[in-house]
Amino acid sequence: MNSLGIDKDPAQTRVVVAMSGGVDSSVTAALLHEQGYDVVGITLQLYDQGASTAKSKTCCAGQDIYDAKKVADERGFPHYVLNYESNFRESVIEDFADSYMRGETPIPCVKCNQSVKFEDLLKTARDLGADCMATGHYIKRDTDKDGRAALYRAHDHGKDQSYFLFATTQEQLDFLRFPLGGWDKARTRDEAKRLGLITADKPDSQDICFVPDGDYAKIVRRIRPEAEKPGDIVHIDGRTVGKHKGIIHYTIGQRKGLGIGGGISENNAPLYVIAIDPENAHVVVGPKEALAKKTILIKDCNWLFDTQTAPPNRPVRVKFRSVMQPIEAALSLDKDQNTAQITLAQAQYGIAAGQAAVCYDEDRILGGGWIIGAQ
Amino acid sequence: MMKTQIYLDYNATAPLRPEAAEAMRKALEKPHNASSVHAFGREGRKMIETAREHISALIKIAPAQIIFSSGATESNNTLIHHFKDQRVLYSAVEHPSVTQAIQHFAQNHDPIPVDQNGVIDLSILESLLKHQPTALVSVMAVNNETGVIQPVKEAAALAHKHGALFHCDAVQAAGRIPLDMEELGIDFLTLSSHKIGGPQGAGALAFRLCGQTPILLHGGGQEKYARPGTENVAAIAGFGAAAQVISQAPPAFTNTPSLSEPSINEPPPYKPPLKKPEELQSFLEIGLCKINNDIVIHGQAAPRVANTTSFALPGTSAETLLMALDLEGIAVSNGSACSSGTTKTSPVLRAMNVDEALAKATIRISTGWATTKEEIDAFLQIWTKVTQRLKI
Repeated sequence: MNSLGIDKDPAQTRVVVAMSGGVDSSVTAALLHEQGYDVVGITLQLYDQGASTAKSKTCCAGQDIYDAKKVADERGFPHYVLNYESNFRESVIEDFADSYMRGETPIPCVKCNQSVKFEDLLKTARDLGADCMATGHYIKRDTDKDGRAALYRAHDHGKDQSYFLFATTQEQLDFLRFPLGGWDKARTRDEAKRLGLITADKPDSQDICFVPDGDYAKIVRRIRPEAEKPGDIVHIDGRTVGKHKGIIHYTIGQRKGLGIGGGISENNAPLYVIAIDPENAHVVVGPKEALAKKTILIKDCNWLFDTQTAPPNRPVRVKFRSVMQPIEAALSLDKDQNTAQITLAQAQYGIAAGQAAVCYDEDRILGGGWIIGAQ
Repeated sequence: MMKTQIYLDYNATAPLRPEAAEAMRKALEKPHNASSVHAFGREGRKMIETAREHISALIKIAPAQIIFSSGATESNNTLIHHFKDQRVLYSAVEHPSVTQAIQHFAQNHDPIPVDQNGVIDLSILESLLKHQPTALVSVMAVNNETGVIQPVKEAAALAHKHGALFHCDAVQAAGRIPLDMEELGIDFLTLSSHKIGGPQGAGALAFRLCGQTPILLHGGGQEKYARPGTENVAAIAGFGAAAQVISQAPPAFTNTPSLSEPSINEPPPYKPPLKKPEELQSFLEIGLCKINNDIVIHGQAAPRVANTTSFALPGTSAETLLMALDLEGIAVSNGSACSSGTTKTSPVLRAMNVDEALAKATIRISTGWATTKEEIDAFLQIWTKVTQRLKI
């Protein structure tokens, strides 16, 4: 077995590395190449960067692709750019806009992994005769006692990207490799320096890639011009307490920027967005207590453990936002396993539809689903 | 371990012919500004004028009727700029350096549609000409993506009948079919050096009529003021040398032995005489059909040059196949190199009404002066391997 768990000489093992142009995937590709693998780098062109950034920034468009190509050229392995703009637009950007219009808070990165990187790109990798596909994600992959691949949180919990990868199917996982899962970012940057990669000091990306200025409402408006329908801000007790410019500007749990004066609640307690009602274009507000929910309902689930023998109320730990530590809960799968309920040990605030709920057993990722509601 | 490299993308650019390399080497030896009065300048001038004569012999027009440019894109832009604010007709399958320039410069323009084999519809051309007075008709001789040959002589005659002038982008035709400007009735003709085995960075625009010299750039007196800027002597010399080879062995690119003086230091590598290009093409196409019986060859029913085969394997992605072949050391293309890297369907295939999925599965193989039967054979073997993998 070679270091990628394939029973072949590295030189005979073709690895497609999904290269974003950032430091993580650059190091992944360069290291595998250094170890003698038949590395093929692929960078996806996902959106027209000139159109999504301000005009003055167009000189920066394509920098990530340039960086990935430069790394490949300098290390001496082939690299290709695939134009996935139309797939990305349909599967990710339009879904992102539609999700906001349904009053949800979407996570486009999961959709991108699910339907672009691990679907279309993975098929391309197989068509190229690759033995596996590697990415620079911080997540650990191991094979369990039955020989199936299992996913674990990254060694560096601060960098762990498992939340964004919950929708990876077992079949995809068997083909995928994440060589950086056991590392922390400092180690990756050290390796990038040792290998002399131009991406060594490149800052981490912070935003959603196609919303570089953080103004997601602008993107939603561009995709769905009808999205910005003004409406009422309604208190949970039924009173109309204000006007809003469109539900796309609000997210569950939001407190700031509601534009409502004082004197609505007793003691002038702050108001939070409790619910979003797309049908009536209502933003529903209320006191913090009204946000507390104990049960999460999820759909379109993906499970990476033996669900046949899963008992109801299986103890798990769950994350319902990317930036939170997993908390105690119990998981009950519905018969078809496509939907499930997660009962939290303690009620939590700010559970938003459109986000993912991801379940863990210690560090192992059991899978998860898309939040449709909370009670 | 050195992987075999097989180059089957001559329509993108052809390998430099040894004769052209030799002419360039000589030109680069000394500082040759062809406009200078001194001996160095005169030597450079001689190289340029010799090149002009070789090109003149290729397209049967007086050397004085040819101006050198940086390439076919410049030649096409120069010519079309000359018809600024007038009415121009062009075939729906022209190269972007023609269509984009026309859409930019011309005041009024219409495409001439092609049939499903990619051949222009002469009756529509005639009705377009009758409909409104037209200054210029531009029809390429050979399509870069499909290799389909256009009825240039007939189109030129129609243009003239209705008082229009006729331009022909003959970039992919030179060395593949005879090009006699007089006989075909071509008023303006565009050539490119690197498609015939010369270097990149040189092209020509030839004009049949005096008093019609199109000018785009303004500056010094080079090329009789028609194309200012210090001449690219080495590139032009290489262009001329390549033109000489192909005009002495028209119309095919059979591998005649090197015609230039043999270089003492590095004799050109011996290559066995090639098969005729038509034989290579049928060998390739019969081979492809044997491997995948659902192969579609674009423009198959039309007259085509022997070096180009544009084909699709339904249900596949040309983008993936291109990478898979490249990883095996085989260089081919999907459509034209200029539009690779975009997901837009080839305008040429769209004009031919080719189904979009089939267009995205389209691969172009283009051979040339150094292609051997062994290379086609190796391609067919690797193609078999690569496409079998897709079915698993």
